[in-house]
Amino acid sequence: MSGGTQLENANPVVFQRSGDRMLTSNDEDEDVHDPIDDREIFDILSINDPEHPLSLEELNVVEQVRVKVDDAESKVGIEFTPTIPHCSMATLIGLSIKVKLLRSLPDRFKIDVHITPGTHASEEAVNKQLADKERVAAALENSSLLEVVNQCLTPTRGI
Amino acid sequence: DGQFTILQLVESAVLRSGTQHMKRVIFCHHVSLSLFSAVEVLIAFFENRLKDHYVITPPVLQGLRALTKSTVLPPGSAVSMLRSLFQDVHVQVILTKTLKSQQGLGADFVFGFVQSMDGERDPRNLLLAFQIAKSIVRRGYDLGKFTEELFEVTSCYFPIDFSPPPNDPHGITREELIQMLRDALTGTPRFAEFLLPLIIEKLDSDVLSAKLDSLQTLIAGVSQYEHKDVAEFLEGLWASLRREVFQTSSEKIESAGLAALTALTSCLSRSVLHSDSEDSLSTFLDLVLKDCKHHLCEPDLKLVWPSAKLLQAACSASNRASHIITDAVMPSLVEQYNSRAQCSHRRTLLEVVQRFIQSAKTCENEDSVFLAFRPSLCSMVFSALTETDSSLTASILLSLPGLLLAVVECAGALAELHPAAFITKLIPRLKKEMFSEPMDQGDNRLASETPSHHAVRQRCLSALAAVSTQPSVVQESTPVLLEVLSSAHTGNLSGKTVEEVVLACHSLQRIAKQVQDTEETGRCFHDVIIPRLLSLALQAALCSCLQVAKALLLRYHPLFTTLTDKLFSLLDDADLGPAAADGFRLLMSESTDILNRGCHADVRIMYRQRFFSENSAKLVQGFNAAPQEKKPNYLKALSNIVNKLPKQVQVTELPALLSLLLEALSCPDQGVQLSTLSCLEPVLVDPPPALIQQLEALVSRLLALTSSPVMSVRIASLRCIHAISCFPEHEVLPFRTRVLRALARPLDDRKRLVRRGAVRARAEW
Repeated sequence: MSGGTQLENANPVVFQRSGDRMLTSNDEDEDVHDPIDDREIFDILSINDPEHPLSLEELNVVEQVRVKVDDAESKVGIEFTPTIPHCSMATLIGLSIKVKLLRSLPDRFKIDVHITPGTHASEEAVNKQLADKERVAAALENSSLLEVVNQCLTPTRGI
Repeated sequence: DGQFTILQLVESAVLRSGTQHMKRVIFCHHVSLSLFSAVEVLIAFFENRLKDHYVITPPVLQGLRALTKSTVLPPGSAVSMLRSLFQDVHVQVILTKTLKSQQGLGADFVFGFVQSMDGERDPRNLLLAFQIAKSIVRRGYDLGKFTEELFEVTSCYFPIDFSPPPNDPHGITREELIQMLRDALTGTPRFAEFLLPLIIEKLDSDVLSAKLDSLQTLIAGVSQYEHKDVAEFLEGLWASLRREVFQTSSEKIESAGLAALTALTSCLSRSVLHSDSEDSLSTFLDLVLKDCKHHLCEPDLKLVWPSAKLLQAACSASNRASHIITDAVMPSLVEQYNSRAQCSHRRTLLEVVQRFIQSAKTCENEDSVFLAFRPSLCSMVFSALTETDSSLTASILLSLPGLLLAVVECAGALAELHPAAFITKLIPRLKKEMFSEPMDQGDNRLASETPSHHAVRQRCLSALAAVSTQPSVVQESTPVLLEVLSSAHTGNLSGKTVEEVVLACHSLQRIAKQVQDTEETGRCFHDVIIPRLLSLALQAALCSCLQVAKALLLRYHPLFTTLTDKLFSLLDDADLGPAAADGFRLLMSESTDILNRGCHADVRIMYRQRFFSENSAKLVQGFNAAPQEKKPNYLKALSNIVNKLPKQVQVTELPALLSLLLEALSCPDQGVQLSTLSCLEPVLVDPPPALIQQLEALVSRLLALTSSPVMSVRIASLRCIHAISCFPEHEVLPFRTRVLRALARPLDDRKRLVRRGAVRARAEW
């Protein structure tokens, strides 16, 4: 982001990252099928915050408990919590989450990204935008918006 | 006036020269010892001397002996002498010497002995008494009319019921008493008419130890009797023995009963047949058969086993007995087997038959006993082997060691007639037996291999050889034998012994000799068996050669090159190529137990790099020249070598081998794929220009590998694809769409670790 503008949330609360997922013997067994589970989706969402060199997890914007995936039904639902109720980045964050999932999940999945109820002033409006496939596609054709999204999705430097 | 003189002599002698002198005096005067009173005095004197220090005992006994030679021994003197002897003397050798001297007394002595023994309770005395009784009967003393009395006085103690008191200073055990009494009772056939009824009576007792003692005494007794001694008691004995085995409550009793039957039958078998005399053996066996045979016809009733055991016990007594019994029993067993369809019945019958065969083995000429039944036995075995229920075949195979080799041989004859049945049923079963692990018994699997497992496997090998005469059977059986050999070679012995491997070879040899000489078998041997044998032999040689080569390599000894040149040349060999390629891994890898610096091996620095740089050209040449099917060997060798090089070396050396590596990526061998991918990854971090020129080939091959059936290959290729995304952008951009599309598939991979790699790679792209 450009350096001169005021940060919306200059002093966010920082949460601890959870450790890496533990491997089990089944993971390395050729014959066992590993279904996609919540933790896996959560790990995919290691996305950076637009304002800070912090991940969304560290800001508690995304939490594993708010990830709901059903591999058999090919459905995934994410609730994300903006750090402040009037966060204008909410749409951007939601879009980044959506794009990340679109790029990382098989085509069969239906992806539903919305704001955790009661945490944002204009959650209905944002949810509506995120659910609209055509609006999302149009937004991604905007190259500057795409660049911002890509920056969020670039793995954090230093990890 | 000899009397007075002797008295005086006695008294004076005591003071002076002792008993020896006395004895000499007596000898001189023994002729004149006609006076009872003198003898009495002397006897009293000697008896009293027995109470003295034991040193005096021997001469005293000699004196007594001298006295007993006197013809005018008063009637009670033998008794009182013996009584003193019993009470005061404990040295048995001297006793028997004394006994020798008693021989002349004959019946009187026996009577005297009987009287003195009557009512005796002290175990020490009893032990002696039994021994004296045993000596009496065994030395053939003329027992005269006192036979029964002697028997009575000893047998009243039978069976022994004695518990030694705690801290018994004399240490007499119950077993000693039992044994001594038994020796006495069974010492002569003259006791038979008394002993056998006694035994029958005591067998009826409820006390187990009494039964056991009776049976063992019976066994000891009949081993010395003749048939006439036992003739009148046969029915009674048989009834008791039968009862003991049929209603047995203890295994000891049962086996003692069976042994008794065997002994009894042997005794009868020893009788010499006269033309007019009754054949007591066959009469007795008729009795046995009458009671036991019909039970064999009811295999599900409990009594089949006791009956079978009794018949087997009789069978093993003698040749004649085994002939009589098998002739009577086998036809009905075979008929039963053929008429009954139920598997459990058949299994029981088979086991009974097998035990008969085993019991006949104890006689000589076991084959002749079953000669007449060989065809029917064979067909029984055959039908059992081809039975669909595997439990039956299992019991046959487990009892194979017990079955006559002849039966297994005749299976060979049957195999000629019914090869298909053998192929489909027997050979797979034999193979399963050969390679099965014994039941898990805790952690110690190998340790729990019993000799019987080895025996079963050896029999299986012999059986495989025996049945292999027809070409079709040979084609099925020889692979099993070859597998035994190769499993031994790979070190996966799982309990197989050297003997078994040797036996497998012998079996192959035998098959080669006995097989029908047709074109089919000739081809089988020529194309399959002989090459396999050769390569097994070569492989065995190869393994040991490799270890030597490694030792040389580590030192970088000049001789090393001859061995490795040989190894390189072997890469072209059809059978040994893969083994040779694997051999390079052994050469390059670090071993933890041998040939490392830790055990002071002489390891030259950078031996791997040297090896690589000196030989890589050769490898590339060989690869380029090799036909398509041999190329994997070279690739495997290459990847084995390169993998062990330090990373920096890999990076510098690899560009030269690029085309080879790309080729390796298309190799169907998954090991080669994996090692190539892992070699490639570091190179992709800083790609040489040569690689960039090959980008199309590289990307295509890597994308293809993302669908490999092996998880690790999929993951490794995804990592390589991830790495390629960092290549110069203008080089990589043309591939972007294609890669993104191709990576959509691994996003839905069934394994999470693969999906993770795909997500990362795709995100980068």
